[in-house]
Amino acid sequence: MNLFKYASPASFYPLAGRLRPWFLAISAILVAIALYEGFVVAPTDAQQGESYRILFIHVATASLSMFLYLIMAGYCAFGLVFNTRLSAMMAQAIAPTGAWFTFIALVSGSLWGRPTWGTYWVWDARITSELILLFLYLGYIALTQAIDDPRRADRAGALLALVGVINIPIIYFSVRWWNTLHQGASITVTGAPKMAQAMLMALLFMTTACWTYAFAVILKRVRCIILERERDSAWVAELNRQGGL
Amino acid sequence: MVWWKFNGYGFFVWGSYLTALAVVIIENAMLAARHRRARADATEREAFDDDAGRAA
Repeated sequence: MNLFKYASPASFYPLAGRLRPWFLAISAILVAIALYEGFVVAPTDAQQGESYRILFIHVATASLSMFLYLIMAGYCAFGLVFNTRLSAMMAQAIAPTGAWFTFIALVSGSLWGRPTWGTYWVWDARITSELILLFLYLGYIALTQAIDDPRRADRAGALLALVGVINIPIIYFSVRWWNTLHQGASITVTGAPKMAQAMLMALLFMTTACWTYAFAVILKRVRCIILERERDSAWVAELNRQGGL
Repeated sequence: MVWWKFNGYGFFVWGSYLTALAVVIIENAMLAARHRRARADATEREAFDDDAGRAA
């Protein structure tokens, strides 16, 4: 099977359409399981009481906001090096979803901060760098929309995205490098998790649900972008005649 | 204890999850509208090209 054929927008468009319903369905099932685990099975936290249940949406969306930026930057680098059209389209498809997840992380974090720290906002290293991440996403979207020529827009956006990658390790390691209000990692690759099993399961289910939802939305958006950019091509006309748009 | 009040933290817990739900609804509504526009534009262009071909 030649996977490289899917590097072409014409091949990827129908594939994305076939994959999307599966990701949506899996996401819906995982969200239901995560909410059951998080609200019914997981016990009350000894220190934070019931407010800790924000963790399941906050940590999932915050981690995804960072990963999506890295994936977006990866597509930008690929597009710059190999001059592939689909790479830039994927990067532009990822950016709005990444921005939304960053927004949810900031809002849920703010709502968690009020009962925990007594304030909705503090200029803590992690929170500030997460806010900068939101600005990077919005800046990338604004820059690529501002330039009329799509290929020039792709290159300009890619440069911005790649420069902004430095923010991701800053967000991740900020709780180690500085004395921050934000708590450190509860789950690490090298050590045992510092939370109860039921809480961990709910968090993992919610994180996976967010990933699959993100894939579904990004596939839909890249289909829109492909249609917008390739609308004059013969394959779009042919697909339209077949009713496959 | 009334479970949905979350022991007094209901505003914060529900606020977080309802924000996420609102984002999901808004994002998908915007995407559906964008896809409709893109399909309509592609269909319009093909109809224009067909007409131009017939006229020629």
